[in-house]
Amino acid sequence: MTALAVVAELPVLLVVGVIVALACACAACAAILDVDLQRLRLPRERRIAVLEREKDIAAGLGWPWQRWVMLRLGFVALGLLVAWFTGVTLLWIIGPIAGAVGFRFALAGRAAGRRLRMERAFLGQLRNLRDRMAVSNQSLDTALQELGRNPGPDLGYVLAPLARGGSTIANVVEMGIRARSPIVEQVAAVLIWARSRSSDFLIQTIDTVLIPVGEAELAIQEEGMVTLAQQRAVTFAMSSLLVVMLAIALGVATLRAYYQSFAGQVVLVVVAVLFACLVIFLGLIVRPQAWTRWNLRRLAEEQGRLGG
Amino acid sequence: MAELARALPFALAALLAVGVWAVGLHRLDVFTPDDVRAWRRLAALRGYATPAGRLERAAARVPFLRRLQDELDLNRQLAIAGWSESPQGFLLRVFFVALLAAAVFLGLLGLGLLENGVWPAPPGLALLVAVAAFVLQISMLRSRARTRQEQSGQALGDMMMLVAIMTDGRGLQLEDAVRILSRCVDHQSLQSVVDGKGWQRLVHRPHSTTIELYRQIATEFGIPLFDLVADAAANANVGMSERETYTRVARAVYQNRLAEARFRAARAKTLVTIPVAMMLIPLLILIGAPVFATISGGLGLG
Repeated sequence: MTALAVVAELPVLLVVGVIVALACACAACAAILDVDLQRLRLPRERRIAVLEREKDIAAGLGWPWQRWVMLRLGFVALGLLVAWFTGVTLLWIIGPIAGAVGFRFALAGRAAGRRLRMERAFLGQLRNLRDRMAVSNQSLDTALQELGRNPGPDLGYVLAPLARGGSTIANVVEMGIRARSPIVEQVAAVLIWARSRSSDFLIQTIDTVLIPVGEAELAIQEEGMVTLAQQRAVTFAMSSLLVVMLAIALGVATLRAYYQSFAGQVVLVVVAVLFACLVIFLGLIVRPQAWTRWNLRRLAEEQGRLGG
Repeated sequence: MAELARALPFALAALLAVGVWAVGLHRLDVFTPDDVRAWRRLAALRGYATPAGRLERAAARVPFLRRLQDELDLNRQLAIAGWSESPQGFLLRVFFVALLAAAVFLGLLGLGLLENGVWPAPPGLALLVAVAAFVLQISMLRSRARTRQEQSGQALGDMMMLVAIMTDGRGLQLEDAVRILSRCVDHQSLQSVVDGKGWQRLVHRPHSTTIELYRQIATEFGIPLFDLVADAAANANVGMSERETYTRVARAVYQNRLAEARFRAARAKTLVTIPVAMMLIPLLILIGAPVFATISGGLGLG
């Protein structure tokens, strides 16, 4: 007699009673041991960090967030379609995962490269800002507006808020938020805090702090990008080779029959797990430098609280 | 089976009710006296440690548990990780979860025994599950502590440029500038140390200046950048320009990061060859497996 059959023969009230008693005992144990239920939840900052990283990639590519989500869903659907087309059961699991992760992996390098280009252009505009203030005697607000009107090809979207009127601090905050780049955020933070000081002070800050530090940050990112590009190229080449080999194998009737069998599915699982482990290992070796991100709205609030 | 299906909604409703009841009790602190609640609130506001419960006091008296928390450096790790639990409370929770994992595993094995009449796996494996759950929780704590250490150091380094402007241009004190800026970073690792008075959990020696406090934080929390900032503050105190001093710290931080990035890049170039070479293995398996299966089948091995 199976366990379920034994349970099924018991009266309903008894089953429910036992479950309630067990659950009460668990709750009592948790209360006595002061188990913190909040700890079981994923920390809010981590949940947000995951989402923010995705938004960073979308912004790096210059795409709206919705398009990024739709395309990723599209690739998941493509993975499912491949599974349906080939008839290999295991691909119903591997296909969508490969679609979602592979698409992100494929475009992350391009997004990082584009962002680096934008950051380099931004440092150029920062020099322009300095020159406008030092040589043309423009005020910060006017110089920022001028920059917003002539942003150059890579900075159109990022510098657009500066061109409009209204509160300069609000525009600077909006610029930092649009850029989603640590360098731009840091410059925005400095502009927020140094804006109420004299132009000379700001020019000196740009000369002695912002440009040298910004260049150092850029150099660090470039160093990381070189290694990251290598890693991506290798992973691309190997995964393409794997996909081509699998496609050829599935095109041959006898080989397809093998991969549709139980032993073939086990082999596919082993191959997928091994490859995923190696990609993760590669990622651990070449880990890019993380940067502090600023909450610019909060920064502007704090600045306002201390008296503009 | 039909009887069980009828019972299922009732069982689920009962479970839900008990869950809501437990969460409600937890949230509302129903059994906690008002004065205890008030004391806890005051203690949290002032940064005092709350008194240990009975179980925690009992755990503190057990020599094995005491030795274990010393060995694992739990008090320090918990403070750095920003978890409010005491080491005894944490150890009790870890043991509870480890035992629960073992019990759930044994329960599953028991179901298998009822179903087939034999143990699906040796019951001794439950012990291994408990040990794995224990190790996993401790390593999670250590990993969280390490991450927060790194994040705090990084945020402090990145804010030096702003600190230079705030202390020189706005006339703010270093401690205030760091505290204000720590609130504006997108994580709370540094804020919990400098703004939330988290440092009081590890810094017990008296201090009269920010420099002393920062040196103690650097030692106790393992964040060396606090030492660097304390040195810079000491220089600023003897008349050097605050902007120049803190800007120099910012530059030093970035130079250091650049050097590290170069070192890591150079090391990665060599290390990367290992996984790249190993990537041939899945490729060979993919090609070779059907051939091997055919040959072994032909030879009567499959």
